[in-house]
Amino acid sequence: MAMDLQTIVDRLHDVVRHDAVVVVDTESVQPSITVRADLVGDVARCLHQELGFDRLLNVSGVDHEGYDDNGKGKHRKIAKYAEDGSVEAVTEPATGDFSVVYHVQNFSTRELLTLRARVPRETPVVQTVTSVWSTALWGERETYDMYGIEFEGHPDLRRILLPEDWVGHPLRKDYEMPARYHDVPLEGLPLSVRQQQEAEAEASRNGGDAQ
Amino acid sequence: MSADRKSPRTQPEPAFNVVGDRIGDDRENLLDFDVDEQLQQVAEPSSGNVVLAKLEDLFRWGQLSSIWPMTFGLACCAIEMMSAAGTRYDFDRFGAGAMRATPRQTDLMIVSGTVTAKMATRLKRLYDQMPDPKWVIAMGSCAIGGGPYFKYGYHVVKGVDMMVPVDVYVPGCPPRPEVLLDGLMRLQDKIRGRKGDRLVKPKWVDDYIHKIPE
Repeated sequence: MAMDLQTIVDRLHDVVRHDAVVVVDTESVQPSITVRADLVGDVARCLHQELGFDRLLNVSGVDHEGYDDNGKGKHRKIAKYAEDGSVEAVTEPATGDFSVVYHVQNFSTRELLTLRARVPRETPVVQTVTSVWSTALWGERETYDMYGIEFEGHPDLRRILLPEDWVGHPLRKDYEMPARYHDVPLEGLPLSVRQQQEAEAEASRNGGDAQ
Repeated sequence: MSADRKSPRTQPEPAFNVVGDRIGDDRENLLDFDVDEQLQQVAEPSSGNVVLAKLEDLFRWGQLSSIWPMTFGLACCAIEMMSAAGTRYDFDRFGAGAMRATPRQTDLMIVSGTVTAKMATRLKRLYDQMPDPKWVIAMGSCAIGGGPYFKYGYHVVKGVDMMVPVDVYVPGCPPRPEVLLDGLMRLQDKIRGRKGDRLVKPKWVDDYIHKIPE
């Protein structure tokens, strides 16, 4: 690796702010730094201009609901479904934080860096990095689509994959599956069975009228 | 051939086959036959030259021998469908090679892939634009029942038969082209065997029958 992780952190502390980096994770397979959510734009600018991270691979999100602070454990079930697959009552409301994860690369040294920013679930707002890396235009839209995390300053923040009028953000842990989308049933009986049932119901109604 | 050749009717040239035997006969004699007698022989039922069939069966045979599928690929199953339509497996051997790019010229829709909620409305519209008679093959696990998204796929229609009536289900993830060919042949069996079940009796028939005096 061309640049030590601590060098990057020191540089960010010098240029951006003395407490910009919150967590430095060197234990994981891919080392990462977690920065303050309100300083993401400045950190990104520093990474790009001072440290040469000129390529953004992707922007993604994490819902930390069900994980402890160390990122271990996965105790929360998917909403509405028990372990045996049966439908059960909705579990308690989710409270875990969100993370936005950026994978950036120095294209001349091929050095990779994982940048994280943790935001509270109630007000999931992060600064945009679209002015630094144009790739983030779509990546942030997808993260907004899937997690509902808003990117402050994004020029065109709207859903990118799901329809405009879709309700909810599907990759949140407390997302509830819709049964239908407008007149499209997502689960249920086949059309032929439904038509047969309707015909039988109508026949019984007509028979009742005749009697 | 030779420039000084005379009319073949008066001076027939002898013809020989590859081993040197003389073939053919005197062409005057060949042309000398009674037309009525020939026709009687041809039209004799025991001769095998005449096939008696119902007109309905003829129509069914025509329909099943010339199925025009729609060029309509939704996901990875479409790759297998293209392979089935290509040279190696060749849909065209069964008369289904004319893949059309518009629903108005087709009578078979092969739903090859995952039907998402966003796509389902388009799929229904395409099906409605196809002229009758029309058939639907649900190809692959996703089109049959949601496939890997059968429970936790928030965006997937769990079975295209909730949107359109499906005639043949072709299982697999994705199905090999042989399976799709088999599904096509099962559809041909279905077309061959159908006895006007899709013909809807007009409503006035029932109304009229009640007015007939006994």
